Amino acid sequence: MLWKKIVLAIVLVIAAFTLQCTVCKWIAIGNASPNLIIMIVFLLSFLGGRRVGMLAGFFLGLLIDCFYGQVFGVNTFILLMFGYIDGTLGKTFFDDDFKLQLIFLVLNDLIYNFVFYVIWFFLKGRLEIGFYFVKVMLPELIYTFIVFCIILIPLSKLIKYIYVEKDAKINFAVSNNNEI
Amino acid sequence: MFNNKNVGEESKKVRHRKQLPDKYILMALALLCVIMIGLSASNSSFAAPFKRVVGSIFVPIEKGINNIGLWFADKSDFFAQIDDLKEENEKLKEQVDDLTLQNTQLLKNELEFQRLQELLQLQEAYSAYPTTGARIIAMEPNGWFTTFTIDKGSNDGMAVDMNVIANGGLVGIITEVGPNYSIVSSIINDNMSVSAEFVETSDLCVVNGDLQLIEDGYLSVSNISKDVEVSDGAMITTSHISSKYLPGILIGYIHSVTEDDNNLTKSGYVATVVDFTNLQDVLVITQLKETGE
Repeated sequence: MLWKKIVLAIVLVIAAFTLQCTVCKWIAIGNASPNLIIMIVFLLSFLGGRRVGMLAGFFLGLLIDCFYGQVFGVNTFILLMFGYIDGTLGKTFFDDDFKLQLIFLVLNDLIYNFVFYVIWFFLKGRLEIGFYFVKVMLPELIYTFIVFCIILIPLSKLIKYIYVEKDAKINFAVSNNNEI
Repeated sequence: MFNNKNVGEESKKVRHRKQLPDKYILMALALLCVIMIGLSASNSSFAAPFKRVVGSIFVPIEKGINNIGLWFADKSDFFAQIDDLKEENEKLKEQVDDLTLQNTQLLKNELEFQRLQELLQLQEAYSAYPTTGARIIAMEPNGWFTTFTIDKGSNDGMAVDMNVIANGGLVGIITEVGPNYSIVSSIINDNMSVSAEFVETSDLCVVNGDLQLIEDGYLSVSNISKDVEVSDGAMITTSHISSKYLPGILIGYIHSVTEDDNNLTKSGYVATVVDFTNLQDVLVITQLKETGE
């Protein structure tokens, strides 16, 4: 079943990048457009595991760097780290709780944009973080949150169906029982 | 019970075995990223072949998505126009049939006509420069910069540093070229600056992109000499001393010029002529600035 996992990851990565650069920009309100890339990296890492997340983040970042990167490798590095950290979170927390996923996505988007702000603006001496938060980060956060609410359930079911093997679930349940 | 325990231990072992390499993968990939960053800092074109391959895969996908979008936009325009036409028809019912027919046809073509006319006027205004039209097919994924992909590349004669215009004003400059696409960095990007001059007096200044100002449609202007008398609404174009921008391309109109603290220069704001929020088609000037280098 490995090929299924690989195919789904590739499809999601390609879809996230192409839709983000085209469709998401058409439906942008002002400067804000939903951030599909962070959604996909988060869901793949949180539900599919650290390794899947890392690779998805790495390749999505690589795509961004290929087309729009000012320094080749920065986006790759940032999204790689997001994949790893979200994957770790997925191991630690229950993956059935949608509220938790919503909270983590909000944090993901905030931190992602904050990192961007620090690298490209703060270090250039643009210190008015309040302005950038209200005008850039917050609108995107709200828009991303709304879109995420819509796609979360079908997408998470799909990812779980492909990535979480039933055997692993049973084993996990059994080992839990033993500990009790 | 015993059996269950075995299964549990086994699964733990499996998980343990999986857990360890994750860190190594992370370290390896992170190291790769650091190497890439280092390489691109010293030689910005090191990834060019890789970019070309990725571009040749993704640009057709983006073009396809874009065409679907245009098709939908056309359809929605079409339906919107039908509504208009019905209203129009009711008003014109008592008029001669021929006239009504003419009207419907005109309305139908109005949108397309306006767009083409705009492009044509543009081309007349910059008749000195050879231009070619291009369509924006994709934009930078995040909200911090305005960088976009156009559907023409080196196969269509595009080259790095070619100027891009639209709506009668400067949009930006081509920063990267692939065989079938080009990346345009717009002048409203926070890291962009353009050497500019006042049309009337030929005094020089520098126009900088600023994310904070572009929210209201402005760029910042700096390095205006203290002695220059500036009136609000003065036209600013690209300057003749710029190394990348061709002279005489309109950037916008200046206002609120104030003297800087250093008592040597003035700075102010420029209202751009280009509406960056609704860009669809752009013109690329296929002539490069001759700098004598």
